[in-house]
Amino acid sequence: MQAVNKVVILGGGSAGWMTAAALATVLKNNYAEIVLVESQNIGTVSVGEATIPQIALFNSILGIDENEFVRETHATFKLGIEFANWKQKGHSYMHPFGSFGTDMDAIQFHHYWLKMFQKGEASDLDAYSLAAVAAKQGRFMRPENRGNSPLSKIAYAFHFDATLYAKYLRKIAVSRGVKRIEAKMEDVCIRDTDGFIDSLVLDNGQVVNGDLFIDCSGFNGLLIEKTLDSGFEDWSHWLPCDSAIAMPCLAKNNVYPYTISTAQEAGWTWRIPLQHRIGNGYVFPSRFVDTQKAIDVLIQQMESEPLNEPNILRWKTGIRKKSWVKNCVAIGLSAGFIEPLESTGLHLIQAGIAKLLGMFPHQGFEQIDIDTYNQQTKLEMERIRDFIILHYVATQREDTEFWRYCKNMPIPDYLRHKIDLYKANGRIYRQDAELFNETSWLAVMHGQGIRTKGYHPLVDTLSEAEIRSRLEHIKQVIDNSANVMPTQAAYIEKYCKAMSQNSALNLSGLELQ
Amino acid sequence: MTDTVAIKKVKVISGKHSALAGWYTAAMAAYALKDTEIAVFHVASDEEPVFSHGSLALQADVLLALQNLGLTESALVNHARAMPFLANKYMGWQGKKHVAFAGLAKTGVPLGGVNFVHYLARLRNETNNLNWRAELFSLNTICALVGTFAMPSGDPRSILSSLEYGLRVDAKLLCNLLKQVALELGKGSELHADAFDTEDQFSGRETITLDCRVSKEPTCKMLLDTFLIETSGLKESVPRVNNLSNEYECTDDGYVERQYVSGRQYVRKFFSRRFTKENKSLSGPFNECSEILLAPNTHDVWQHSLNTIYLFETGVHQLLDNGGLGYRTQQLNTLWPLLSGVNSSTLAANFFNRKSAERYRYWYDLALLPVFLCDRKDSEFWQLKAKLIEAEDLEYAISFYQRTGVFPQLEHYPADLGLIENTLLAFDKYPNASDPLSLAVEIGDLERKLTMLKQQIEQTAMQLPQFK
Amino acid sequence: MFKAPEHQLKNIVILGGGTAGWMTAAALSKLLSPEFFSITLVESDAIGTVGVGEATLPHLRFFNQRLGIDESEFIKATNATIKAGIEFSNWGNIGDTYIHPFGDYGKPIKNVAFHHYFFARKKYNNQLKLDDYSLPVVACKNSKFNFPTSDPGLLTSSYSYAYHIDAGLYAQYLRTFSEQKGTTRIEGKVNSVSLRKSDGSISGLKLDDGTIVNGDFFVDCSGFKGRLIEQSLKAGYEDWSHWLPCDRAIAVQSEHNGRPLPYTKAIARDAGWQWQIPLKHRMGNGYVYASQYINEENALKTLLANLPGNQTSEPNYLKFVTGKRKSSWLKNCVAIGLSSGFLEPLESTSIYLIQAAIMKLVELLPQRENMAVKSTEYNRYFSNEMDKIRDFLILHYHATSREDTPFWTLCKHLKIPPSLEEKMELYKEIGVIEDYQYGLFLTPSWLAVYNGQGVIPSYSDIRVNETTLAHADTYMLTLFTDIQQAVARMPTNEQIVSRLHDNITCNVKLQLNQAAQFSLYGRK
Repeated sequence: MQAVNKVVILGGGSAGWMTAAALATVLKNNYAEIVLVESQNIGTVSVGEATIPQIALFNSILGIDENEFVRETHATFKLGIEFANWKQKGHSYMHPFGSFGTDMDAIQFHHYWLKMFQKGEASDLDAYSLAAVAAKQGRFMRPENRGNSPLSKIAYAFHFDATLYAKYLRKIAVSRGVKRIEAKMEDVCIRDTDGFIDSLVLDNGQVVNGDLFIDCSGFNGLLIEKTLDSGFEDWSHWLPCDSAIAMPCLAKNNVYPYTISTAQEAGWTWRIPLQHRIGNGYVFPSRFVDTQKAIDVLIQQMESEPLNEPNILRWKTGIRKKSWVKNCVAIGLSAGFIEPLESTGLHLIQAGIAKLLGMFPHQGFEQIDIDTYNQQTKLEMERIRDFIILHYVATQREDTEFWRYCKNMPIPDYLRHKIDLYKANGRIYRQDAELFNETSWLAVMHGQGIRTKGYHPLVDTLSEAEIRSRLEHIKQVIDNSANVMPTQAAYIEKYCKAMSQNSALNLSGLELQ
Repeated sequence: MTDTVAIKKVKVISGKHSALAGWYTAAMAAYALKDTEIAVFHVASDEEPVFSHGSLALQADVLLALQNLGLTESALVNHARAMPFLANKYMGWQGKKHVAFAGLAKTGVPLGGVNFVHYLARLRNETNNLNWRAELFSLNTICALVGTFAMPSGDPRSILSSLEYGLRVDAKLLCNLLKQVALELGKGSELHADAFDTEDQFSGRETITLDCRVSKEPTCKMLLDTFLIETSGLKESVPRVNNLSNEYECTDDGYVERQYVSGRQYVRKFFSRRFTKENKSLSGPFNECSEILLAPNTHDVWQHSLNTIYLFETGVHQLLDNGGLGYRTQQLNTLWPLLSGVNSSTLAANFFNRKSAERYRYWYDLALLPVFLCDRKDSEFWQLKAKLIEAEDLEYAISFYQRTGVFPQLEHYPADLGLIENTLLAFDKYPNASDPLSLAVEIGDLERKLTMLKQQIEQTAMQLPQFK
Repeated sequence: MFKAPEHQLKNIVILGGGTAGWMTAAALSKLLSPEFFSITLVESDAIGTVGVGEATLPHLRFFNQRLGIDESEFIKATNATIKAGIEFSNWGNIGDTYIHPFGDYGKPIKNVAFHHYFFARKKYNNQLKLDDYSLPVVACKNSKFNFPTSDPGLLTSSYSYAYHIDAGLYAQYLRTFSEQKGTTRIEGKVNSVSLRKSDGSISGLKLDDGTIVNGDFFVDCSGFKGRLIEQSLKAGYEDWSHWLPCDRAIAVQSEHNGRPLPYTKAIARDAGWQWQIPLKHRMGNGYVYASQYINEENALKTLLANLPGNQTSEPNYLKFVTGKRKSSWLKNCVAIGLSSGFLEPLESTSIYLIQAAIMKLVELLPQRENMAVKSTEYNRYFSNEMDKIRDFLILHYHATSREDTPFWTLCKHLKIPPSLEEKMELYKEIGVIEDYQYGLFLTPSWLAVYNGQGVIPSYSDIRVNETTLAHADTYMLTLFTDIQQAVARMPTNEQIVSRLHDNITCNVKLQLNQAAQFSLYGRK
């Protein structure tokens, strides 16, 4: 069967350039020509972007020097997310990366902790997570090989400027042979024999033929939807937020290595710290909050004056029924959209790329490959969706119509089962290739105030005293470990400080010329 | 087919307003049937005829038919005051100052097998210079403008071969000539009677009646339903005008047509009763004045059961500068071969009616062309015009011409639409696209070629003698 | 150097390299300036063309002249012979034969069509033959030919001529011609066609080897299947097989006696008709038949039993459905040739329809935008051509006395199109033939077939009587004698053909390349 000779990527945001950079790296030895079509006249959605630790894998595939990457994208490090006002007004909890405590005798740590917590004899959960403790203290370091110490298992991600990230990846991709075409797509040509995409017609008159097309055109899905009529499954009844405004400001407070998500009367705001500024945003349901109100609320809660006019985004939460149709794979927003509450945007792109590489076609395009890809994508999205819904449904707030709606809305069966299972005996199972692990579910279920009736019976094989001392020991080790970590500011200064804001702007100005 | 009765008589009927039509039909019939046993009668009105066209502007189609009847050009000049014309002049149709000529002959000369207009359109589009007008490339329009005339040359290499002319004749005098011809040619006798009271005299299947009268009860309204006629020049005080164009001047409620026949001016004013309540007198002294109502005849032209053919002395033909003689000529030429065995079946009548309807559509379009093209919106009449006029084929032909520079091939339109094309150009309806084949000439080269042609036409026109 | 406007077409792609494809390529590359247009033709050696021996109409001369093709060169290159008409045998009745000439019958006398006088006289003298009043018919019957003269006053200018050619050789000739004029030929078979999502127009072709051929405008010369117009654009097909029931043809070559006749032969058979097209060295033969009435084996048997000489090629089998493409120009694709519809070659119209389509396309060559304005008019034009030819072809089958086979019984009792019915009735009753303003076959052709197949008007023109007939008698006698004498002076067709192919003398050259008319009948 003939190989795919030419891959055409439509759209040059994070999705487009991540895909281009990855393909350019993997399809080596002139395996296939890669073309990316983008227009500077079409804005990208990129705002300050938070990620999850899986990004490291992607960076390593590309062979990226992490310090350079942090510098170029004005990144800071991220150890988790703090959720404020979600369970109740005035309450907050941490969803840290990495694990809580350590498993003992093949039984998960949290069962031992639950037993003691129920007795009122254990600290709250955060105390057993190095990430949570360090984050709160503004400390950060990358893991170092220190044997059993939690310091060797530090899981981290980044906050970075997505526009700079796309630019950075573009540099890499182009240096690895990706051909960039500056143009707007005007039309698509379809093969009459099988309905496959044959080529894109650009506004400069050029016709770009290809064997495989990657649709990174954003919400609209110019290829996957407007051309191939994939269809869309609407999830907005579960996740009613459909709008966001984003505005950066200068950092006034300490730049701590975590994202803050603060629940509002309807929806939530984010605070994503970068090296030189803070990304702020408000994700809200337009049915409950009008845009001007949202802007007012955000500005009022920001720590300093906004640097830009608000960037307003609208979407519909849900998934493309098929993200791979014929010879077109949708990656990024074109494949579906889930609000960035758990920073899953870039991860979904990366996961899409990984699956595409796993299922990379030849010109025969086996339907079973395509079906498998679509099944996997759907599963992955649904699990993430359920995890996000958890944040809303497991609230104790009833102070606004929005929260009353969330608290009482019917939820997907999988989520219901997961909550019920936890409520019974604190058990958490990770199914299939589910993204969020036991730690995440635990952090959020407990953080949102879900309490269990019991715990794993085998915990009782150990005496209470034994458990008490072990928990105390773990907490101690974590405190000690945190104490040896430098502050994030110091760490960045040492390894990966971006050039000053002004010079960075100049530099990008030069590049544009 | 056993009940077939051979035609023995052709009876032409005309009325007060249709004497010319009646005698033209009678003369044509007498000529066509002269070697047969068929008798041609003309039942004309006793009343003093009214010539709703003081004059007629005749082109090749009618002139040829008249020539067959023995009415040569010199006969027309000597006995019907015939005077040539070269163009139609339009005034005030596209704004008050609009003056434009549409010549009778094709504009320009084809270059490299491509119609001249494509080059002209290209030059206008590419140089954005709208002073390149079609009128500059027609010997007809330039001669009409400067008042010079010569007989066209038969030598295709001479620029004079591009000249084409028609003749304007006095309608009353032409009628007299036709009457003489009819009486000489035919065995027909002239019968004077009130035409509407003679229905029974010639009944019977062996007679076919050609009814030329204005229909008594118009069945539907037309946009322009009235006209006034006037002839000037009989009085000494009016200077003789030798104008080589027929003039069409746009008015608030219709238009005025002026034709010149050897020094006399014949004026007709067309308007709609809907918008004009009183008779507005025309400029100049009146010699004759009459008001005529227009309405189309909508039933079948050939009523088989009545053995009668209505030849439409009403309707749109009154708007035509040839008084409908072009249409009548076509109709009669179609009719003669159909007269064999006509009483046996409706076949011939159906065929004739189909052809008549098709042709009427063309003449209707031609008659209303300037009204259709006029883009005035400053009076009630012109505002409502667009809604009242129906010309589907014309609309298609014009829009297609403007998009492409060629006319669609419509079966019932003549192949040569030169005069329509010239009229479109006079109304600034230039094609906005040109034949890709015209790209073969470089634009500067084209400009030079056209400049030369323009100069050559100008010089020729100036050198010709003034028409007297 | 000057630039074509942006909205101008640039790349024209022709799919298919048969007669239609190469005629289109030749015309476009000759007539369109190479600075602005690029012409590409995609063809596959693996796909056979239908090109058999082909009979043409006089219009082909007009086409060749527009392209600047030298007539003697063309004749040599295509093994051509000359034709001045078509001979129809066994159509009206078994044993009847007549010639449909490229010329007319007499002139009107006192504004009355000639045939009225002829029929009036024939009523009393059954020996009179209409054939005797047509120069090309008399010449054909005597196997004679000479080139028409150009003086419109002379009898010898009153007819035209066409050729029998080897269509394959013509395509080859035009290929060389087109390639010299800048046409790019790409060898390959279409794998898929790409259509624009926005308007469904064609963007490009992908060939089996992966080659991509993009274009602004496409000409579908892919033959009966209509790879672009039908398979991609779904133009639809108007089926005429209830009027023209033949749906198969078998073609085979044979030797002939070395003396080619100056006309094509169309011989009616039990379930269709057989053609004989004499080329210089061989005869093209074929049997067009209705598969409902005869099977392939028997059809082949019939054909082989009626060859004029030894069979020299394997039989070539063709299948078709008579009819026309509902829109032969759809979006940015125009179908030319069999892709635009199929009418059996009974009146040698295939190549005429190709050239008419090409010339109309050149006249209406569109710009990128608003093609619909032009395609509407083009389709109206082409549809009209097809409809009128269709009526004329149906006439041949319907105007018959034959009821000796089920096929002919069917044809005789066929429910014909209303347009043809009106036309035939008018003629049958009063001898009137309505001429088309736009149409290929005019009064002389209809008269030839009516008369040749025994349709006689019931009534003469009312103006025909003893007085006018006396004039007519004189005219007819003169015409009869003039024709006899003119034909007597003509060389045999065999001589003409050998002159054209062997040594073309200056004398012959002078007669070639005379300005051709776009008409069947020579000068009017």
